[in-house]
Amino acid sequence: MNTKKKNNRAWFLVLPVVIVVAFTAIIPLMTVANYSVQDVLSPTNRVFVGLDFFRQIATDPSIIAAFQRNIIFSTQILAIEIPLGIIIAKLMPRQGWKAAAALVIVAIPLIIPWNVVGTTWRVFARPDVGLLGVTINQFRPFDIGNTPADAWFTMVLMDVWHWTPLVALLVYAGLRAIPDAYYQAASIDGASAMSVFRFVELPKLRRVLMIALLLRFMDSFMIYAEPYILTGGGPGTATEVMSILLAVIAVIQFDLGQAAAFSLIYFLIIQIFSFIFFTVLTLDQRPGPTPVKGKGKRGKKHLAEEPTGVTNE
Amino acid sequence: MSLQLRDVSLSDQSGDLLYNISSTFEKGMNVLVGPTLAGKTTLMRVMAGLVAPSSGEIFLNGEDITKTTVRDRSVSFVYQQFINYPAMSVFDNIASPLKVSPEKPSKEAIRERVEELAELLGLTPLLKRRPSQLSGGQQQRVAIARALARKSDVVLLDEPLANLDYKLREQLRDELQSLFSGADNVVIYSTAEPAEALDFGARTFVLSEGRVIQEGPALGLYEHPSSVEVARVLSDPPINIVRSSQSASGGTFGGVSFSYDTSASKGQSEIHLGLQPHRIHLDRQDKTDVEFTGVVELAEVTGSETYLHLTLPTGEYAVVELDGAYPVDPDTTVTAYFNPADLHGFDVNSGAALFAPSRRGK
Amino acid sequence: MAKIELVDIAHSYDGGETFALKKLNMTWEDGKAYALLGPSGCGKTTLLNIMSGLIRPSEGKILVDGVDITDKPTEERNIAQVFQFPVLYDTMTVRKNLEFPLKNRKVPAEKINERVAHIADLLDLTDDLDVRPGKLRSDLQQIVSLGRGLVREDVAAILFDEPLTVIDQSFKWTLRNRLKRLHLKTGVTLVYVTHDQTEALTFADDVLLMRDGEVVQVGSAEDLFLNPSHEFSGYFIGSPGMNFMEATVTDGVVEAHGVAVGKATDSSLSGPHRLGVRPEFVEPVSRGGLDFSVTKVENRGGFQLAQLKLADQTIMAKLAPDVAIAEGDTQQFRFVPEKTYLFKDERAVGALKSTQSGVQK
Repeated sequence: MNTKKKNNRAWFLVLPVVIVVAFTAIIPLMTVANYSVQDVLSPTNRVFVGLDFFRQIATDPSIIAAFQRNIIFSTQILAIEIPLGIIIAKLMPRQGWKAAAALVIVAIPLIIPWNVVGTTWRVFARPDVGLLGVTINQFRPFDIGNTPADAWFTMVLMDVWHWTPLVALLVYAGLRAIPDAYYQAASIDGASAMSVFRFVELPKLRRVLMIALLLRFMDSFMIYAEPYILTGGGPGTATEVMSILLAVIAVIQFDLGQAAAFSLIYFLIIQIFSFIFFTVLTLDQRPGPTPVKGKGKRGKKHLAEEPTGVTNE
Repeated sequence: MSLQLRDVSLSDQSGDLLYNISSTFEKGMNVLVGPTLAGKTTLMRVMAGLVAPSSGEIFLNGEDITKTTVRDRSVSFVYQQFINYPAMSVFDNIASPLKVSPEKPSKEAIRERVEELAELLGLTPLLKRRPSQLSGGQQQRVAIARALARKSDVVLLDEPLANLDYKLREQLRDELQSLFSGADNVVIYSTAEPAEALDFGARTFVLSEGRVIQEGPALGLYEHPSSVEVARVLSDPPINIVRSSQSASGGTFGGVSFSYDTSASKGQSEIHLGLQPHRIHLDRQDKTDVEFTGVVELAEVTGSETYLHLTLPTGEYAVVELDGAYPVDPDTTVTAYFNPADLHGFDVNSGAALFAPSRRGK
Repeated sequence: MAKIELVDIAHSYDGGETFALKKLNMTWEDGKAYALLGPSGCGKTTLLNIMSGLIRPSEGKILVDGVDITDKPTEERNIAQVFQFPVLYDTMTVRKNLEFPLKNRKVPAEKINERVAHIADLLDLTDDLDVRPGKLRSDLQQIVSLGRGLVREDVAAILFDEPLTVIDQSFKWTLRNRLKRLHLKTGVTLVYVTHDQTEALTFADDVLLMRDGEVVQVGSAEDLFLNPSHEFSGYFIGSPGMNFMEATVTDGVVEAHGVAVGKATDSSLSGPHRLGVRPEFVEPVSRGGLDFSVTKVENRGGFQLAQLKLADQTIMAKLAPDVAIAEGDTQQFRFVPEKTYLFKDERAVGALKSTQSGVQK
């Protein structure tokens, strides 16, 4: 409800950002839209094909298969990363130098460039010199280049290694924000550690977990560099996620029309999922029915947060 | 110096927050009193320019400042939570508004002003400390000093003492009173405690559910509330409100009939009577006193006074404030007295005042 | 229900350099209501936390019915606590919140239902049992927090840590006397920490007035008000607090500002002392008092506060609203002798002798 007097100077400050975003996002997007409805046979020969490419994409079996792989992949990593992140966060020390050290160690996988992550794991998974490959090979043959299951397994494991720290850090921050009084009260009530987790921690972590879920889903749905370097989509199409397939269509096959249509659909899918998540996440923050402003008692008020203005002692 | 609000209203997606506020705040101390969520903070934010009103105008010394941004208004704000820049020393905290002021005072001028304010608020030995090294009361003093640094036209204090312990509150209230007593600027202090409003004894504005329901000198509002709502907001312990069945010659209190001049409530078969707890005694003080009984639910003894919580024969609740210690056991029946000249009368439906005590405090 | 004893308890947060709580011995009697009252930093919360088990005292021990529980963790102590803000399990209904402490202790279901119904009735929560506590007003939420403490029959004491902090001003009054009424009904030992004197004095049977880690005086509200044993009791209790002035005792006669104000009850007192008298006991008299000039009169509705000046001494007098007094007046005032105390090194050593019933002036 803030209607400050408009200061036109502000627009000039924003202009550089607008230019950059226009150049890197909006213009390319418009170009892609352009390509998605035209068949470019040569720079001078373009045919308007309407929604043909979109129809092809929607019915193309390899694209549908890639989509399914993305869904399965995201579901699997979420099912592992969220609980694992919570466990790690709970194990991390709460204060002192140990807390700082733990934070740094846990955060290391997050700061490694993504293609380096891919490369590292590719070596790691080699059955001849990679620690992982060699270990598993002791028990059963392991070859990410030829066995689809092994490639998929490694891809999931790599993502878990790479991104669980993000969940852990978010949950750690969420846990630190819970006032001690809740733990004390639970203690007084004789609650077991499991009850404390279920009735104190989880409810208070709800928002943080929603954010973690949203972030991880979005990112995992768009994943590219790591699996591309790890397996290139192989063996065959075992680990061909949508982004890799898109790159193949666009760059290798040079079917720009199809690639453009695919890109737009991909973009749309992510937008829809984002919107759904965002709506669910902020459901309890929507202004509800207007509080009754009558005389006398104020009626029931929704008090969801603890106050911040507490007297010092 | 005056700050005038004309028909100021504010609403947002959750409903109406302020309705048609048309009040003028003169120079010196002004007190805004009302329960939590009455709109005190919202009103202050509108006056400061942090939120634009949905309708209405604000004038400072006759000049329309409704559309002026907060940075361009000559306003300072002291919050309930002691807000200071944690990374700066006390000196730098107080100096900060001066450093960014468009008048660009010299370093020497800044230092002089900071030292002057530190002296005024008892902060001189603490100038080099960080806020985290100060007690609550000291931090709030720093916030006040910072608010006073630029001699703004309007100083807003939003329940500034609410987070301090009660003795410190007493002390700072005294300090603030002397600090602002000869002020040229408009000082507006908001509080939820009626005792504070009466303590300041300044021009008081009673806010309830987004409306200013009465304004005037504190004592005047206490003695002549315009409605039962004002009476309730300004009394602590809460004023006793009981039903009275009226007849031509009098009314009832707790089931006891008594006579009094009913001309102000002519024609009404039922009204509400208001009686301040300290106006009830356990002994007859005057032959015109009315006697009534009640059963003691609880006796709260503070040493200097006692609050007797009674249930009247009509089932209504009443509280008596007595000087001294009277540890009466629960379920005891007591006889108490009051004088009809101390009664307030309120309309049963609208709550509007029908009459006020004819016998003044003095 | 039990007798709780604190034996030689002291606590330091920095390994013995400074003591947040200095050595103290205290017996909490079964069923009484106590208040720990004092300004910020006086040690009251430290003391409360020692009792609840959150802090292990650096020195001393705690006994419950003679059993040493100093090393017992919170969950094994039979105490309950109400915090500064309502601490509730917001995924559970009010009913489940109340059942929780009993379920954790494996109390049979029938007994749980009985206790919950009883407590809900006591606290007037029966209609709200199946509501989420988040939907209730803050004072009702605190009542639910309290309910979780009362629902256990074996609770030795319920501790309150400034429980009215977030309560709306208009509901503070009702919640306060509700708590007092509950105490009378349940007979559980209650220990209440606050910096607000009205809360402490109305609530407690005995008040522990604390300052800088020490208990300055223990007594009922009346005791602290009428018989302060320490200057701090005079200063902190009462709004405004006690008036203090320098006085000299010579041959049993007490003089302040060169004027004799009375005789000391203890005739052995001699030399410089501080005189303390509460504003409530500074009375206007037509003769036989000290001449004060009235520099300010404030009518606060229920009473008047007059600021009186004599030489360079300013004191306050609390008068009834109908007493005739105006700024600029010169008026004689006397100090009610039995309520005028003499302090040496901050401790009360005597008072002024009563001038009534035959005792000489």
